[in-house]
Amino acid sequence: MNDHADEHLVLACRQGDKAAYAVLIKKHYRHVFALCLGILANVHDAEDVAQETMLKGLQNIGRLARADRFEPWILRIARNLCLDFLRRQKRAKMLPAEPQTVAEAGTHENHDLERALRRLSQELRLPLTMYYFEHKDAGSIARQLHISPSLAYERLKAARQQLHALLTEGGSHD
Amino acid sequence: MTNDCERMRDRIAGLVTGAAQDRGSEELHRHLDSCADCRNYLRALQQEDTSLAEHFAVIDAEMARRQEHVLQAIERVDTSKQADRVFIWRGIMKNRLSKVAIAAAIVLAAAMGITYLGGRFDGTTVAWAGVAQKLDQIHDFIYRQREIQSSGARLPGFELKQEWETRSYYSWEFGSRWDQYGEMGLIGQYYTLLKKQQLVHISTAGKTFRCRPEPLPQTMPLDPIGEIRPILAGPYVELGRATINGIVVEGIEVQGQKVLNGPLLDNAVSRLWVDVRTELPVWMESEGKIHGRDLYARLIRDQFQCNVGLTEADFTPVIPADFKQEDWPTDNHTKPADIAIASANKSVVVDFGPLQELGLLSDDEAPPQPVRAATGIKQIHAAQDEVMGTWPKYADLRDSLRQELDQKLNLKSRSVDELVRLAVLLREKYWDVGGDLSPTSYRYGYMARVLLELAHAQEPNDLTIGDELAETIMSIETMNGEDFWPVLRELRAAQFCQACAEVESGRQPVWEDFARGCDMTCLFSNERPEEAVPVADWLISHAQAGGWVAYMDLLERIRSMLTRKGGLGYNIYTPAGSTYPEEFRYGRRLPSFRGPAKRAVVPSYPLQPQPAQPQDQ
Repeated sequence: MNDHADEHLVLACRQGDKAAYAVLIKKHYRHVFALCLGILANVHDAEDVAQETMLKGLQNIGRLARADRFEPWILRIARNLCLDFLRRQKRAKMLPAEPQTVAEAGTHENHDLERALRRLSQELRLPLTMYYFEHKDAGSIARQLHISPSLAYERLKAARQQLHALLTEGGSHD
Repeated sequence: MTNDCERMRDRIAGLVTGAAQDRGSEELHRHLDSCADCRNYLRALQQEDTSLAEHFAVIDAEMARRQEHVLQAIERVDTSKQADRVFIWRGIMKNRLSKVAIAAAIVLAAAMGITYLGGRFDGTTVAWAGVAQKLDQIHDFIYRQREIQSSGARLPGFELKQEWETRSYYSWEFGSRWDQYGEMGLIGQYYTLLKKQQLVHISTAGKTFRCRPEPLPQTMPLDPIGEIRPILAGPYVELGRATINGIVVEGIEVQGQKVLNGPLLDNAVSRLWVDVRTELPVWMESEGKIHGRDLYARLIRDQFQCNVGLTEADFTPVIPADFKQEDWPTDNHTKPADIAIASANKSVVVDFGPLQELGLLSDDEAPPQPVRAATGIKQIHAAQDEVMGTWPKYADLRDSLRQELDQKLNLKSRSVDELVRLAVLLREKYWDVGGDLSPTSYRYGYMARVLLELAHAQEPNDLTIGDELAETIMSIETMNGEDFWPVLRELRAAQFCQACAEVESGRQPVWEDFARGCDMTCLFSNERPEEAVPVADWLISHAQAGGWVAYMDLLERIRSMLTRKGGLGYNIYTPAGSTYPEEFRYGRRLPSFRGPAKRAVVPSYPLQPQPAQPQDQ
């Protein structure tokens, strides 16, 4: 959907107006962070990539072909950066592992749930995150992921079933 | 766990995630009543549901801190080279058109100098209801309109972006002038000269010019808010405040409407920005995907100057001595009805006095119904169906209306000509009180039909009376009307047979033959397409003589569709790129349909008829 307010903000950013970009951050950062969290399943990583996304957005705003399509554009940058991050992480895992600190192993109190979420496939975790974190309904999730609403429902249901299996069958350990 | 349980667990997961079909499933609730395992499963999922909500709430609690970090990081970024980055984008545009267009876009972005002021502040605000009145006080104005077409982001070298520009001058006293600019500068000028009653077209590129006398009204049927009206009619969303070129403006936006001239757009969005001090337009735009093409279009109207004191000199064509004069298409190849409506546009004043004198106006007539705000063709058609669905059927009222008309008019004493003139007046009254969006207008339309049926019965070979009858039936029936198709099929078929016979006997084919024939192809296309193939053949074979050669492509397509028996559909006649929102009100009518004489926009026709080619001797 076109966003006229965004369009004017983007045009202002192109003139070097950082205040305008601050408004864009306040409006879209949450969605960007949620997407990163859904893909990466780690709060710290999501924070890093979301921040990198917003910086990259500012640096490349001149390349945005349609100024009124800021949100899909910035989400696409976020997704690409997440995938890059995962590729880098995969390569890093092939190197000898450094010992994990307790703080890094689990950010929040519910470690089992965090681990179970991490073990979910990205395809299921992303809609689940959008549902519980962003409080989006299946229709909104479907629109953002470019899938049908029924498929969004199916993924949400499958995510809940697999999550339950991981939590109850002791399968939540990395 | 049984197979039943396995199936139900999928639904239980749906129940927890809010799937409507699972929430209301009686089968699921019955199963839960009888199965303790599944009840436990549901409870476990509900507990996890709470855990998930808490887990994400904890993450969410730190959102403000994260956002603040990002904002601090942004502060450290040097944005002084942002403009350069726009040029980097230009660097990837390989083709010549793209280069020209993107350069224009950069100039546009810089020229607009739009800055966001971060919400509304106290002070003057635009009273949108008053904007229309403000514009009514304009007696001359100038604006620029641009059309930018773009493919959007594609691989380097495959982008397309092109731009055209027109500068328009309007004056109540002198007329209008459009200067068209392309890649190479000024490419043409169109003048509508009220004092000289003349149209002039100068082709700068072709070094030619054409002049044509034209019966024009004494003052310009100028409606500076004609295209702003649909936006003001709403429903619109207020966009708040911004600055454009240093002017503080407020804007509104309507979805689903294209209000500026240009190609037909899917999911169009239109916006209007007005100066908060003067409440005059500063910026108008429509944008969307071009129908049937993988391109986006943005139509922008800006650089408004109102009441600038344009003089006759601004409307005096300057034709260089070396420009060659060309002939204008002759009048006998244009569509008379369109010219009549175009010249009378908006300035038509219909005198309903005769209806009053004859006692044909209702004393207890409901006040005219406001035209409903509708943002697209579907809503308009739905509103038409809803309103017209409440009308009594014509067949049920015909006899009583005829009796009433006989008592008031003594029908036998009236000539056919009188009956037709009265009917046309009644039909105009029908439109005047709200037409197909009024719950009470049908009475006038039905009376018009009664009179025309009488006239047609007396003079069945008078093609003009048949045309008026067809026009009236089209006015008071939707395409879904119960007798619309058979009655019009019969009427148009009889007219076509007669026209064929007349042309066989030596009469010159005329524009009306084309319009009636096109009606026939449309009316027969769904149920009996094979019967309309000879009609298409006749129209094709008489295109040269009749002067509708410009429609040859359309006719070939019609013929092809009829032979495939695929059903024609009305859209084939709808001119892409020149369909106005208001025309949607009449959009599902047949090609010959004229609509009310008094209307806000001129009805458009697919193509301008071209002059007949000289026949081989």
